[in-house]
Amino acid sequence: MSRAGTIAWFAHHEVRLTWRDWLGLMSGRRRSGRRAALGFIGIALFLHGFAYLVLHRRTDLARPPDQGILLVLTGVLTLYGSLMVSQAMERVTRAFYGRADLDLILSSPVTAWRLFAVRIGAIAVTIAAMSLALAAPFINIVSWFGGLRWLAAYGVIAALAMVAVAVAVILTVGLFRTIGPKRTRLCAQIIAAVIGASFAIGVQFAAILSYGTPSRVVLLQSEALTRFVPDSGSILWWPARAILGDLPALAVVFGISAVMLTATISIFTPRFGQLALATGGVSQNSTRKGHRSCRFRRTSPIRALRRKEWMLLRRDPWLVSQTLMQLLYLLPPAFLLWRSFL
Amino acid sequence: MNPADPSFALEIRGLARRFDQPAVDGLDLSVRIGEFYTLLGPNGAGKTTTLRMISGLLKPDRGSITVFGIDALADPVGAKQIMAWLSEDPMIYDKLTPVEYLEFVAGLWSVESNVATARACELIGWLGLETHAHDPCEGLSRGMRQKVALAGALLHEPRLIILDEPFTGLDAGSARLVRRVLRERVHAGCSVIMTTHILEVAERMADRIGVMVAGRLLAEGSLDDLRRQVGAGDGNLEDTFLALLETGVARRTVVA
Repeated sequence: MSRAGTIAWFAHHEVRLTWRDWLGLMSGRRRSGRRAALGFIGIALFLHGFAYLVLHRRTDLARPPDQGILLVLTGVLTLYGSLMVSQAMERVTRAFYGRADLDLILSSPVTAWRLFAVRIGAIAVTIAAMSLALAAPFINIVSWFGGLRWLAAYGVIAALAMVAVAVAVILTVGLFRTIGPKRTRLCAQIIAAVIGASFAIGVQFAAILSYGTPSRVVLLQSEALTRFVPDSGSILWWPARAILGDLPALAVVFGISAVMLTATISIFTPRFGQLALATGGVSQNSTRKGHRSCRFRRTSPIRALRRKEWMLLRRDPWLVSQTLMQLLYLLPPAFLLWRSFL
Repeated sequence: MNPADPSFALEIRGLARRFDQPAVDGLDLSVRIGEFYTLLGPNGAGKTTTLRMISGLLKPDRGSITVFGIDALADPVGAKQIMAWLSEDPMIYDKLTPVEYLEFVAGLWSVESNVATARACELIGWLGLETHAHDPCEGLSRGMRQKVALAGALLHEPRLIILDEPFTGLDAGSARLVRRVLRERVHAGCSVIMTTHILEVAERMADRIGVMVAGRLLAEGSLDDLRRQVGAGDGNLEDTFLALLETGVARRTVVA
């Protein structure tokens, strides 16, 4: 085994814990394990069926890349990337604020940045795995219709996950520096929600305003937009070209992403121990103190329940961000409804 | 500035930490080598915040912490090497067995593997964990988990042990076992600083007791010293402690 306290040692520790969690999930009882496997296969078949229904009418999957398809793919990547950044920010914030085993590790003489380097890497792997699992049915169906070159999309999504985690780390550390650990917790969650929803909702709004439909693809394929974007030789299209099986473009996109994540971890992790210590005081002291009246008001059970929910919502940043995300996603359909009643 | 007194295991001078209001407010406190020191105080007195700052888990706003002559704020790694911290609700990895947990902790403190193995076996025996040594911790009772965490804290043979409410949730048998292990450590020259709300434990174990209120040390000394301060005669620690709190609160009210 590797020397104690090194990155490899922490990585071994994290992998062992994750593996045991996974085993525990799968082998609780043989019957439930079999049921989980059947459920997994069922969901995979359903998602592949859904991807088939979405893609089977498309006739442009096998043709050489043009600006139209590059624009759609870049749009999809931006959408997917913004969701990944949102997820990554949420996880990076939790890595600092969730105390779990940090007390044990931070009270020991090991240098904590190595642990955080491993945990940030683990977040990248998790985000990549989740995103690949969601995209896999579409990639597989597209590869079936349009050729094996589309399998390169797996590499692009892994690269996108690395960029997303790097961006999330930079944003979170930036927030720590500018507004302090106390406000970062709330702000990071809200920013994560807004980033995750903004591109998707923005494109949807534009599509509704221009074409009266919430379909993002209609806007991305529109002539008005195609006229303004650079020609197909532009560097802007490299990620999309990589998806289409352009191996040099894939190598460049993957390489830049890996360098970006490695550089971010190398630059920022030495300060992560200090950041985690700074959050220790925050998590200890999340409730407000002061002289407040404790006069109770007579109220109905429904009002008491509603008041309690509001209070909990106000005091839980994660709940605020999730509720905000739900509300943001409701805006385009609400806007569409409002327009149709005008 | 005076150089640190080598006869003290822990010296705290002017320690302060503020959250929304001061949690620890200019605390001065010393623990001698080989001493069992107990910090008492009502909830919110600043006891846990003090211990977290000593352990390096919280940065003080001002003040100094010296552990066996090492400035814990300037050289946290050096200080952490000879300290152990055990919280009220310690984190034990559910999916690891006690032996695996101890192996991990030994790695954190860079204890040689053969030394760690011998100490782990010894601690597992002392704390009565033999039958569960290879079971995942998720199936262990709270008392068992507390004992595993204590074994982890003692594995690297720390010179200063910092314990925050270590007896909460322990049954009578386990509490006696833990008391015995801690006593043995103190006899071996180790120093302990501990908070507890179980005054009987403090009365039995502490060489000196410090009473904290509102982030400051209200009184300090042996049980007899404290009794004399409040004129409690032969009263037990509970009577003495409550009398001290009353006088302390009264004094603060007058000052305010």
